[in-house]
Amino acid sequence: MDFLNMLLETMQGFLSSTGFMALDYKSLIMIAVALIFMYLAIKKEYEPMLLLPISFGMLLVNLPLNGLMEEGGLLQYLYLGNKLGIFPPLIFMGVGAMTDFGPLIANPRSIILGAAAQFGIFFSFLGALLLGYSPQEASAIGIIGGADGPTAIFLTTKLAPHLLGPIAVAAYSYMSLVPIIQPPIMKFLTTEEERKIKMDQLRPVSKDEKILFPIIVTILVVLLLPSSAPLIGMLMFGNLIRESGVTDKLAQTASNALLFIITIFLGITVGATATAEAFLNAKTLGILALGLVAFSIGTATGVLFGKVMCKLSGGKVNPLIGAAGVSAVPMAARVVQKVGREANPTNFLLMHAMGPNVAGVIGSAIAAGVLLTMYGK
Amino acid sequence: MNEFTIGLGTTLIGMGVVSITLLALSFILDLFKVCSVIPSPKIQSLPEQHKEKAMVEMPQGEHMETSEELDELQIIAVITAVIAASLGTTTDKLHIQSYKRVSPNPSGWNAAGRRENMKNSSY
Repeated sequence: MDFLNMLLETMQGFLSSTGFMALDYKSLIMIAVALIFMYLAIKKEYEPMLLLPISFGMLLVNLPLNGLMEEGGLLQYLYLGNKLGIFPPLIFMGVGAMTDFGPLIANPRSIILGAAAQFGIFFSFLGALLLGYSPQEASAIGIIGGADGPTAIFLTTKLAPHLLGPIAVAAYSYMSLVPIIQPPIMKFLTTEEERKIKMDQLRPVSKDEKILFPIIVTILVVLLLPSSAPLIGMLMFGNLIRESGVTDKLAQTASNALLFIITIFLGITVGATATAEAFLNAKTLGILALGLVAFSIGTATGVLFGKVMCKLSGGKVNPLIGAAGVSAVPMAARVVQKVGREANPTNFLLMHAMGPNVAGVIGSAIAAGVLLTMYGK
Repeated sequence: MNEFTIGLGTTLIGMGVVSITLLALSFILDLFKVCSVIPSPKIQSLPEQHKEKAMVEMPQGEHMETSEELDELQIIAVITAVIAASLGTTTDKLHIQSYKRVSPNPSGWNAAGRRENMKNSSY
């Protein structure tokens, strides 16, 4: 009899220590959300490189009693890479090593479109302030409009780390939805005739120019805005090792192995911040709504400024390329190409759109630097 | 409301800094255009280098008359530049020892093999 009692007690003890007994409806909702993101990543291929690690991190951390993000937990240690602001700049280095700034150098005026598209960031920032978010939270929410995941994560970990999960999910979700969100705005703000405009071929860019570019951008931007040094510095360093022609192996490592390793760590730890307590609240809904507004406004202001440039250039600039000013490299440029081609099948806007597109990356990093300077502790 | 007013100021400063920085960059990039008009000394000297190299490396038996020699050297310079461009390397890493006309329509396998050989021997 004593033996049976002991067996029962042991069984009870074991059952109460399993995650099944600790499951609540909030955890179940978050597990369902994680599974939906996994489905979108695997079946629909929406930003799978990031959405899959994010969704798996989300799944892991919402399985009760896992302890992964608690003191001594594996993901808590990996999360230090985000918390200390290490992973996003390293991602930027890989992006720099992959990016050809040639189209931007060939058409310097297109860089202004990258600035115009950043208005979405500040519009949402103001909207978030009106809705009662703190200035730090509003800054982190606004940066979603930059359509640049690493920048959003970098700024959020510095200003509002408690919002990292919802902001990262919103930023990457909207980036993957660029082909759905942007075309209606682009078509609404332009006429058929404007979309048909064919642009002149870009001039060839010499190797010397490509080497000088990252050096000059680093000196100018970091002197003007020292807080943007981690992002701009790493972006331009990655680009310099690509363009110098003497460090091919470094460039290959930065744009392949290192980038993918960091992407895995960043994705899974960002997902692990999306606990039920952090995610299932009214603030998340506000973040998702404001993020969409930021993205849409950024696209709209880019296109509107494109229209201004079209008028000023005597109809030589296709205003659609302004939509690529929201970073999301290279998807936003591809969307411009697709919409331009729908209007005129002989139109080839991809390289013209890459100028504002990569300018948008620089622009959103500068905007993040401004917000960090104003509201960083 | 006070925070919103400060936010408006942040927006003005933020958009101002982003716009001015990118505008300054675009003007600096305009200067690049001026620089790129001046041909880089390396490119300018390429044909000369290859004329020299080709002269040294041309097998003796293949020398022709002086009037035709210049044309041939120019052809070698052009061929060297094209091969360097297709391999993504510089002409100083290539040595043209001899050349001969081949069938204008080689099979895909032959062309791929030739490209691979050139690439392997150029580094």
